[in-house]
Amino acid sequence: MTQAAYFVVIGLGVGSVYALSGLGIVTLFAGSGLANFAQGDFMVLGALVAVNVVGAGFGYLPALATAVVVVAAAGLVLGGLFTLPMRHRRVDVDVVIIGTLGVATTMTTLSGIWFGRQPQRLDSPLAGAFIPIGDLQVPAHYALLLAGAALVFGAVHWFHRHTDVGLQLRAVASSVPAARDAGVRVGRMLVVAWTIAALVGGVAGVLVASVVPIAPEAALPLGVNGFAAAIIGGLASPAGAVVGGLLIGVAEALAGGYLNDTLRQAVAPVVLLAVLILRPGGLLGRTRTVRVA
Amino acid sequence: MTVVASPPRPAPSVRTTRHWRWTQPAIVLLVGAVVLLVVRPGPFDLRVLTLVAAYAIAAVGFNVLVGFAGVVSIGNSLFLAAGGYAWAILAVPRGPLVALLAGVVVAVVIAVLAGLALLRLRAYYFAVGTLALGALGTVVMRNWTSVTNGDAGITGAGYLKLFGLTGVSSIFAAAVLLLAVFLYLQEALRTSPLGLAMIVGRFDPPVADALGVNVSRTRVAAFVLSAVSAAVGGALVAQLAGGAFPDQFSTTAAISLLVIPIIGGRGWRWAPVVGAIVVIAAPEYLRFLDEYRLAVYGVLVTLVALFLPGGIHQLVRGLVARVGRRRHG
Repeated sequence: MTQAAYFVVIGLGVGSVYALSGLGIVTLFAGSGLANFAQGDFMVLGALVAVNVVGAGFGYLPALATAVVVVAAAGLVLGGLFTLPMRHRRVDVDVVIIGTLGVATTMTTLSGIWFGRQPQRLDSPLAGAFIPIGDLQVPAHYALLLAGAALVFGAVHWFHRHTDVGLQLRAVASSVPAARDAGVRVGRMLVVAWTIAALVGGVAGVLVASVVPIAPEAALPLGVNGFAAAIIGGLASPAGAVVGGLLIGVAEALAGGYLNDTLRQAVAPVVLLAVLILRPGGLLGRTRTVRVA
Repeated sequence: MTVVASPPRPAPSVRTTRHWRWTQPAIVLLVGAVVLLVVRPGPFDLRVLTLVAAYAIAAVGFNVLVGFAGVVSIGNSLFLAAGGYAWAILAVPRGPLVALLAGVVVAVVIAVLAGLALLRLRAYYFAVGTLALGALGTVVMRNWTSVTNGDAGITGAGYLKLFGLTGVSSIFAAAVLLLAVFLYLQEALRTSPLGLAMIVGRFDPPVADALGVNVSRTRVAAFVLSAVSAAVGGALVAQLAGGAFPDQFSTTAAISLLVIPIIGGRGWRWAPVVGAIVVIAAPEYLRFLDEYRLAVYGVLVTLVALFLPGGIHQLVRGLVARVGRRRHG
């Protein structure tokens, strides 16, 4: 029983990172209708920047701050780039998907060149501290993961609900033409959505790097887990993505603990496919009626 | 309720006019023969050309999927893998025909099941679902050691011997022949009822419904066709590499496959060949960029996707239109 509790706590910790990855994907999807396959690369970039700042002799908080600034800048640039062709004409879904895949290839390669291809670990500020669960010891960093994810989610939620820009973002998410008619600068909102997605990804990357060593090639699996989390929640619901991420984290921890590592790797893709087939609207989402023409 | 004029739709980039179906296969065969008999490229160049032809074959089906049916899949590495592993396991003990067919059958079964389950979803959801499918395929390849031999892969695959050729020349000849066949089929499909149904379903689903076209069924058909061509391409890739390995059939391969018809120009009949030359051959000759070549390639892909959505076809059409104006004006 204590063992099960141990796996659940570990799973919740890792799951909160998937939740943040999913939150980034959902933010961008709601704001611009884009599926971002480079979300995992934002996390990797954040993690590796932080590792290098710490390696240069600075503390954890300066590393976190640098990582967030660098990743936000990357998000700003990409947001501007992806908004340019959308100003005048509608862009095909498949073309944009390929655009983000190109970004993912570029970022993975550049991260490999700049930071090395080896998995790197970031020392946790809580290293050496443990939370006892029965006779088992959970590293205290897992609590930090949960707290960090809750903080980021709260901040994004507050931003959407209580700021003017957040209101405009929600307007764009509900209807682009209506938002435009009401005077919202849609292009700028897309850039803002990209930046938020990048920020969330960067923080998640820094947090996860203390539990899982991060290599540039980890971007894709991190992204897939994020998509799984987002899709469980219905792809348009931030809270749903968080719940989905936690679910996947716990499922992975239990599969890895009681079964084997192969099955652990298969959890996220299998859950994703199962949800797509059985409940395409998401486990928590409502089934939306599709308007034809 | 007031009636508002709907914005003009972009003209379909897929042409449904009739070409002489043998032109393209004839050109491909001719160029292949010239390369093999007259140019006689060195071993490295021949290897690159063979890989281009193999990926062009795999991309023909993808051109149908993306260009005709308008569906994006990021999981087609799975079908490459089915073809590749079937070849590596069966070619030597059971003969080439059995190996090729086995790969195609496995790919078709997976595609039918996945297509029926996932293709009723909207575009993004389907793309994400196929990404998960590809990721699952990689997990299976790496861990089902009794069949795939895990990370080490299967070596000693053997290759098709044609016209008394040996080594890479023979694989090249086989790839060119198969490419000609698949290009013929692509043209035949374009003007067939099924192909037209796919194209209508892509550009105007309500009209397709009104015409009695079952859009999701034509999408499944396109997905299955893409699986067939990917399996054949995968068998050739395995022959060229001398075996099947998980790294060959990773998500990166699926992305290359996806990028080929887009760079070429979705639905254009030359897109698989032109795209494969750019996507497969260009990185090989960009080696002077060293480790930055994949980054450059990624930037290129992003820029084409965002600013040249019609791919190279768009450039060609623009050029042809300009030349035509000059001649007539």
